[in-house]
Amino acid sequence: MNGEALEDRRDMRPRTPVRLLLALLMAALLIPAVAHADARDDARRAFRLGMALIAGGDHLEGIEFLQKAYDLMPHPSVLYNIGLAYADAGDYDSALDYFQEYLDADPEDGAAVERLMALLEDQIEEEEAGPPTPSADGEPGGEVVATPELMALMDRLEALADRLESGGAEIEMGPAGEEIDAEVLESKGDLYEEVVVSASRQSTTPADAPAALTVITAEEIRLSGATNLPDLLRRVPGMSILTMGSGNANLAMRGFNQRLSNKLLVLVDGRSIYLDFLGGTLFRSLTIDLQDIERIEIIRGPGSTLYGANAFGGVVNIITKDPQAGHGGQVHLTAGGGDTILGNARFSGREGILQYKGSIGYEQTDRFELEYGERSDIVASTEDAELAVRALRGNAGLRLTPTPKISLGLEGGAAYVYDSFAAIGVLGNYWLRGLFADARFDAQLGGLGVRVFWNHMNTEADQTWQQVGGAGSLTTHPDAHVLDVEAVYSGTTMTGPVRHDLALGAGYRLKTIDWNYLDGPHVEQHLHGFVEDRITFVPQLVTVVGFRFDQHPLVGFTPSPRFALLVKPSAAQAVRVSVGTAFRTPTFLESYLDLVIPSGVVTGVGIRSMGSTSLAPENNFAVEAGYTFEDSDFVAFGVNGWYQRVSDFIALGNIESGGLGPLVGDTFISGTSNFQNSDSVFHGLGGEAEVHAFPIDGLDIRANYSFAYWIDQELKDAGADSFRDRRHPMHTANIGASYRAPFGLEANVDLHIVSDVVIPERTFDPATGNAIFEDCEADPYAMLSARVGQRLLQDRLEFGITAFNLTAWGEDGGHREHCLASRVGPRVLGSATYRF
Amino acid sequence: MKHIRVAALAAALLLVACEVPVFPTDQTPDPSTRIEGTIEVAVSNGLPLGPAVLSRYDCDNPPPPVGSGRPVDFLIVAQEDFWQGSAPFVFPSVPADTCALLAGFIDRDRDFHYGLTITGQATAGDVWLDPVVVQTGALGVDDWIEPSVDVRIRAERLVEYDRPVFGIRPWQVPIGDDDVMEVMPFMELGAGPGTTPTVFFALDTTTFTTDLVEVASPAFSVVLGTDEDGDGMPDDDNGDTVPDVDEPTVLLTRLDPDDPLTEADPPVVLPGVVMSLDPTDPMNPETNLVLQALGAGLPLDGVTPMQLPSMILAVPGLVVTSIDPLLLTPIESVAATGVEVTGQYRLMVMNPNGQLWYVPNELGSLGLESQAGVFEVVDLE
Repeated sequence: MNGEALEDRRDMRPRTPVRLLLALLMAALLIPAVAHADARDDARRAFRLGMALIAGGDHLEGIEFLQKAYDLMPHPSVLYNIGLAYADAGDYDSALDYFQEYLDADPEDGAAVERLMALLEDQIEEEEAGPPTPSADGEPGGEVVATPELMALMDRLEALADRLESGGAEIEMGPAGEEIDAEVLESKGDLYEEVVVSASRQSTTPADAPAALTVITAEEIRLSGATNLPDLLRRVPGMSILTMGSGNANLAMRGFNQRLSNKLLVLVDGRSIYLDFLGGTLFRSLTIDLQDIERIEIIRGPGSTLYGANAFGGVVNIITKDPQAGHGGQVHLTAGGGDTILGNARFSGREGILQYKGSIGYEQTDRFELEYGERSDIVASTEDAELAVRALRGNAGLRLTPTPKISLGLEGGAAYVYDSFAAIGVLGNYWLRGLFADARFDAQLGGLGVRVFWNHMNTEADQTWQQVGGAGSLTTHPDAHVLDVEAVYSGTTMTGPVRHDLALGAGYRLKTIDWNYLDGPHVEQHLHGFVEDRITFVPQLVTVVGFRFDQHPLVGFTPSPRFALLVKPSAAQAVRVSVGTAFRTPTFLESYLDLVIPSGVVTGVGIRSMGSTSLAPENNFAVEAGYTFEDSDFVAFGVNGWYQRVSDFIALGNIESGGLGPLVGDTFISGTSNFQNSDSVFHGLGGEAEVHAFPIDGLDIRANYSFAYWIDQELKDAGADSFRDRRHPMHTANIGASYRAPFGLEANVDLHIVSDVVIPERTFDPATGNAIFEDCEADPYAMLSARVGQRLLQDRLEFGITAFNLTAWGEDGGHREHCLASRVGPRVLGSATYRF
Repeated sequence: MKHIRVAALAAALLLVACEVPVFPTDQTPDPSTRIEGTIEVAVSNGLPLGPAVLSRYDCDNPPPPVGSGRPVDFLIVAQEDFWQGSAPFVFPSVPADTCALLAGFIDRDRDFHYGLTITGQATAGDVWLDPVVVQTGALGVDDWIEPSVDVRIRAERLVEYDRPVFGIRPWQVPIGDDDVMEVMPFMELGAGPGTTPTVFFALDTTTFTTDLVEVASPAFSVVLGTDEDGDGMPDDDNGDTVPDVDEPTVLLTRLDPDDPLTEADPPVVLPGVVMSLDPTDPMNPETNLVLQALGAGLPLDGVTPMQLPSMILAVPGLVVTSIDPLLLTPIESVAATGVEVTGQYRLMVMNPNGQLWYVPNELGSLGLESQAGVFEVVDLE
């Protein structure tokens, strides 16, 4: 090719301005048509405004706001409300279009809406027979010659408007036998009102909840860029996160965090995933991905009245996404630093009375750092010491809803997981590999509900770092099953003007364990019963009275009462005072442990750690007062103060001299340590304040601060200079903001600030080989994480980049949350999501 | 195309495998190394018939009979680990660039217990593990220390004799013409240097059977003909023209008043002298150990012991202030420096082959009277 020809070809390429224009054109095609405000807050604001305009007769403007609410956060019922508004305004064709869209979502009241549409179509036909008279105000449609049925419909529409305007008051429906079901014109208000299910046996708004509550929505999860639950839960007021490594973090609410933290109950759709045999939760062992989560509800404070044992400091209830109408799904991929890969594909749908969903995911990530390099004395017992987590997990579910009051659900999941975690005492870092599986069946027949779940784990685990030739192997194969059955009856009754929302039920749990760390296989059977009465004297005054008993084979009968008083100046404001108790039963480990642990100092000597079957449950008596304000479309805030008294704390005791202990295998027992209840009583005082502002569409600003002060009464009585228990940070603060620009760009930033902690830890004295307790100190730290993202193709495609722990990009390389933990380092991750 | 390449590069950068940094926690131990090898049993039937007890000593602080060192580590090799007379062993966590002495025995009567000084040694019927010296590697780059491997320890010599298990015979003080009063041995501190009288008393071997230990054939051992200078002739260090008698070593160590089984700090050690003859009657065959040995036909080989059921002990008023070279200081002079010398003392008797016994010991605490005796230094002033 000669030079002239080359020039000609170059001339054929678009000039720079042309290319720029093309790029802009492409971008214009790709960007979404609307801004993506915070799905709930901004949509709720638009919805409320729209409904108020419609109620005031300004249908067209009201419909615009409803349409905006729908665009911000699609909800089929908004389509229905738009249809009603059009019908009310006399634009039956538009009404029919929206009703049809609503029907496309396969709603439960579809048949009734179809009858309504038929009525409208008849009316249109009649109108076509005689043209309507133009209206004086210029509204669409105009005065029509209505049939009696349509007149009745119009009456109801007016009543609906009145009801919405008045904030959801009951309306009296027409006489029975009409063609349109009465319910059709109800239940479409407050579509964006947040509903929580974890704080009591009844679904309530956060302001109605009898406990301090935090909700993290799927939108917040997405915007945060978080790749795991513990990092996501950092933003919860009162929550302490103790990250031991890239794959392992321990969570505690308001106090007593530790390795294998065991005082926070974690649920998935109400199914406990607390590891009863070990205590605590391995978050990587879940059979769901972050992508499967609809929202997370966190009860801040004791929850044993609802959930029984182990809801000691708080409850985290992870609620998964329900199938949406039609068929749909999502493919998600995150990859980046630390060899992190997270992939997930999920789908769901609804066909008539059948809902279905399925999800499969893969996760892997490396450790932030290694405690040991290539050494001749200590080696890794795993092939890939750098690997922190590798998991393949999947879940699927079916639900049949033949009528609105009858529902049958069956779901299950399995995960094959490699994880690393920090065990208790001198055991150090462990790896774990094996199967986690679960299944759940539930049935709802009117007010009666039955739920059965099964959890299973069968894994292999061992110390990650081992001395070459060190005495004794601690390889273990725990094999555990939990079968839980619970039946609940819920109903509402009136005592004069006083309304009682009553729930009572009973349950049974079977637990088995075969684990060579214990003195043998064990089976435990537990029973429980409960009753809760939400008493509404007047809308401004509500009490929630609950009582639950648990029968444990070792600790016997444990009662858990709770009383809460709610004073509500308005529907979205509440002053709350509650008193209650919580407890934690001894785990299998604490009851039946029988393990010889090499000293690591003198080769032929070890310590025997033993469980105890005479342990009392840990007890927590809590008093709490709080105020919640959600009575604004621009800001919400809450404050809480609490006092807790914790007794019978369970921990491994001091080493009792073994005297002349026998030779066990190739190890002499120099002493024995038993799990025991602490003689001390701990008193804690704290509070949380949080504010959430959403001043303009697309912008969310959130901040919270938590304070906790604990004292060890035994140390205080002994005249110790320092009697403060410092396992929980005294100060924790979170500041965050997210912004979604109208052209699809999103940004989120979170700053997490934590004061120092001191955790008593047991280790071996290298000089003597004896076990000793040392204060494990962790300095204050701040963690800054940010994400930017872009949504394209009408939200179907999304890209994001997350910078996790930006503050670690210094010489220190990250902070430590425990003296035995690895540093939490920085990571940059890219993500892509495609929805179909 | 260029943008695609940039995007691909960005993705590759995100996914590139970064090496995980190594960063120890506060409690990560310093690098150490290991000594590993095999124990090979070479006794007649080739079977260990018991676990091997292998101790690691610092070469600078060897165990008896060369020194008085205690193990810095020990391990048990279970009998089940032996295959065809051989079993592997590993000492983990051995410091770099250090000299380690490995020694021990196969505990065929399974009476070893690390927690008891009286059972922490070989007994008759056990098999000695021949001592081995190992020099560990130096700390190299990246914390790597070359391990010491293929160390072979042979087990071929039976332990023929039991320990010198003894009790303290009370000192008999004449009372009147025909009566005596028995008092436990004690030393009355003199008023000035060198004025404390030497105390004489006797030690008798004793047998007993308890849940913890069985002693069937204890003995004090005496060896003749030791040739430490290697001149081919039996040593005669005292110049009395007869071969030296290599008697048991006896040391008396002051005990902590608050913990009667623990040595006091600072330590106070008195030497005990085994009387190989009666100075007032040197040729008495009943008390002259050399005559006894020669009469019994004991070869002058420096190895073969003569077993004695009892021996007379003299304790002068001297304190060992340095072992190498051996320096002795009058006990009154030591007391004058402010060191507490009065109180109870423990006796240690060590036979020439390194087997030893203490009184008082744990058995005394458990009620065995013969093992509860003490030597006492008193200051009547």
